[in-house]
Amino acid sequence: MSVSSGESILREELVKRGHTPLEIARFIKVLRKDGLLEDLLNALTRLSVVYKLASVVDIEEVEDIEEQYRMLINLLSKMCGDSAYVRPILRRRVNEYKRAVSEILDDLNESIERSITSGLNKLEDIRSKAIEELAEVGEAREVIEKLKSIPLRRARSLEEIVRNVEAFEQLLIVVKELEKKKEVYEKSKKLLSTIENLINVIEEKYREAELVGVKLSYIEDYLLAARYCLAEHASSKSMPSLHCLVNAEKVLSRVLEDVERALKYGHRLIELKASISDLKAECISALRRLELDEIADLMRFIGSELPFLPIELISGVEIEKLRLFLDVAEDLKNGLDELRLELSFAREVNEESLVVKIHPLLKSGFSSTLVKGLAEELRRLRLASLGVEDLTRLYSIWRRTTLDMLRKKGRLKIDELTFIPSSWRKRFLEYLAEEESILIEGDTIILASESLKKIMLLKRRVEALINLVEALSILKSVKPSLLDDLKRIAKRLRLLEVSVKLGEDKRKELEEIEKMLDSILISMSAYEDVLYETR
Amino acid sequence: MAEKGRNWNLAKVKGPIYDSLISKIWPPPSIEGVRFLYSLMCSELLDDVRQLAYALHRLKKLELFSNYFGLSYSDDIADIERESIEMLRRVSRDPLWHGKAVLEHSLVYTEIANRYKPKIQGIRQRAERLEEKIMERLSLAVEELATILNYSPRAQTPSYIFAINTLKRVLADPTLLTKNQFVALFDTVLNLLIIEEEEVEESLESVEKSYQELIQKEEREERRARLEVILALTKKYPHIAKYVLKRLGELRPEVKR
Repeated sequence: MSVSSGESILREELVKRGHTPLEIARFIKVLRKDGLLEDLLNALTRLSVVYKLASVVDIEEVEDIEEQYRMLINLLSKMCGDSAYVRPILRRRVNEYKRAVSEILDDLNESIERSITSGLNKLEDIRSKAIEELAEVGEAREVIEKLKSIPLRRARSLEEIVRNVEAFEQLLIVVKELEKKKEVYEKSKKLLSTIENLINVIEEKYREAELVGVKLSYIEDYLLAARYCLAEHASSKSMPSLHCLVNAEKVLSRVLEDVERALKYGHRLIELKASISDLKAECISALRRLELDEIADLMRFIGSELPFLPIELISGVEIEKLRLFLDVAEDLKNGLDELRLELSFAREVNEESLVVKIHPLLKSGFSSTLVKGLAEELRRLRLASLGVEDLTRLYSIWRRTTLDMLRKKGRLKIDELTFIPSSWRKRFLEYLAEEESILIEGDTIILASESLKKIMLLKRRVEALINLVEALSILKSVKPSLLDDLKRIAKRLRLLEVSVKLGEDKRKELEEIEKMLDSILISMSAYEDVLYETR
Repeated sequence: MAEKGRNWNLAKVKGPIYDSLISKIWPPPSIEGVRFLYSLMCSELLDDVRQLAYALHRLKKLELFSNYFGLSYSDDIADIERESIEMLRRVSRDPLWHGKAVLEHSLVYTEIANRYKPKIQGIRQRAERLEEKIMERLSLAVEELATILNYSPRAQTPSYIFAINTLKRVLADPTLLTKNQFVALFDTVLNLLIIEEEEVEESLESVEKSYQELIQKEEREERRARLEVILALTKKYPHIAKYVLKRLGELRPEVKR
């Protein structure tokens, strides 16, 4: 589009208002003669540039311009039809009209100037923003260069301004497409990061659920698909499908809810099972004390309807089934708790009434009179083998996790083993200490090297001996050098204990201390009965 | 490519969709199966396929339990499994996947979902109907086994009652029972049935004869199923034949044309 000529605009407007070409030609002639035409045509030409700019950006001043333009055209139309102006003889109102046209033209020119400046400024803003936004988009490099090369505010003529605006307009279409692409990139980047986080959280909770004996194998399918999604988009340069990412995020959020629910139920179930197991042990011991061995044997079968851990769930539906078991376990725990209370204070129990109480806990559905002899028969059958504790079944996974945690941190508080029911932690650590180089000091578990473990054990043994010798010296005459020797050994062990790494010389020293301790023990054989305790 | 530089360790994936269906089409270590799993997620078919895989898993568990009662649904279950795998193969080979620009993917995925969702759901419903049928037969079988064993002098022992009642209780929802738990329970029942072995063949023949006689007369669906279950139990555990004959004798007056 080129700049429209002011004369053609004027002619067009006057034709629209019903003036004949002859009237218009005469009117233009008069305007030229009065020195109004040049300014007028110039303003109308500049006006077309404003409209061109306004087609690309919003210009607030355009409304004022339109009003002023309408007033001007109305005035010109009136002048064109007024014989007092156009007839050479009459021309009575010339000065009046000239003044009015000049006033409107002044206002219009001012508005046009403001509009062009404002429009060009807005285009400049759009350009800077686009350059900034697309700076990191590889495909946008060419467009950015082209945008930069347009001399928006440096245009020398109206024609140049219009040419620049037209070129800018064309580039803007490309910019908008690129911005849309960038938006998709950014959204997908955000979604991919959310998906990655979800995968990590789900994996973590999934492992945590495994620790409480709940294996959610169906989640592996979702994790596999989601990991593929991440890998695919990390390695691909093509535009990711937002549809897929939105879907993956939605699905994974649901999976996370599932795994959290399973984890909650799993925790509760294992805690309840641990309580049931402890309560059963207490009841059994009370029953044995009361010489009710047959009923004590029967107690082992209580709770056989609860799922044995670990349990594998292959659908989200099964998580809800797990919840139903919680109610059963809760009832059992309460029933056993009542029984334990009753038995712990009892000196004598009526066997018949006890059987009536145990009967509902067995949930066997047979008459309570048939309980007699049942334990003996069940023991012979394979059913009895079902009574293996969850602790034994979950031991290997707990062992692996505890050792991993210890390797990472070096030491752990016993309370940190939240996945193991609190009443089982001590027993678990006893098993673990037998198998692994760990030390338990108060409420802390320490991963120890074999040498450190040996030092700690020796230290404890020596401390116990010192206490004994001190106690013995009150009752019997003990060689004074014995206590001094032991104290010297204790001191050397303390020094060895703080050594970060035991070199060959320190290891030799440890062996030497062991020999010294052995010889002290031999020399103490006179107090064999006491020593027996310390070995 | 997603597989580059990544150890997917597919042999260890135990997700039921991958393990029981997809790996049958693309055995590990092919990454194709994982790519397809992701496509299922994109087209919102993953949940439907998961439900199908779950239904199949339940069926397989019931198949194992049924075998203990002398019942066999292996062919029906294998049919459904084959059909499921075939359906997934068809989804993966749909021409819609090919030749589309990435931006058009959402349309492709929606179209794929519209095309296959009802079909996958159809197979799942078939699997569920079969499951219902097996469950019905299983409860009939437990009921009949309990009734038949009532004729045994051992039936009045508390351990037998305990075991049979536990069996009945767990069969109300066998899907949560592990194979080992089930086997242990069933063995408990069976261990109670150590019955003298003499005249086993003869008794089995008599049962079959009696069965033929009754099944020809019986028209009621439920009763026919009961008779079939009794015969299956006897074939599986011929030692109970003499008690089965007593049970059939009990049913004889009730047979209706």
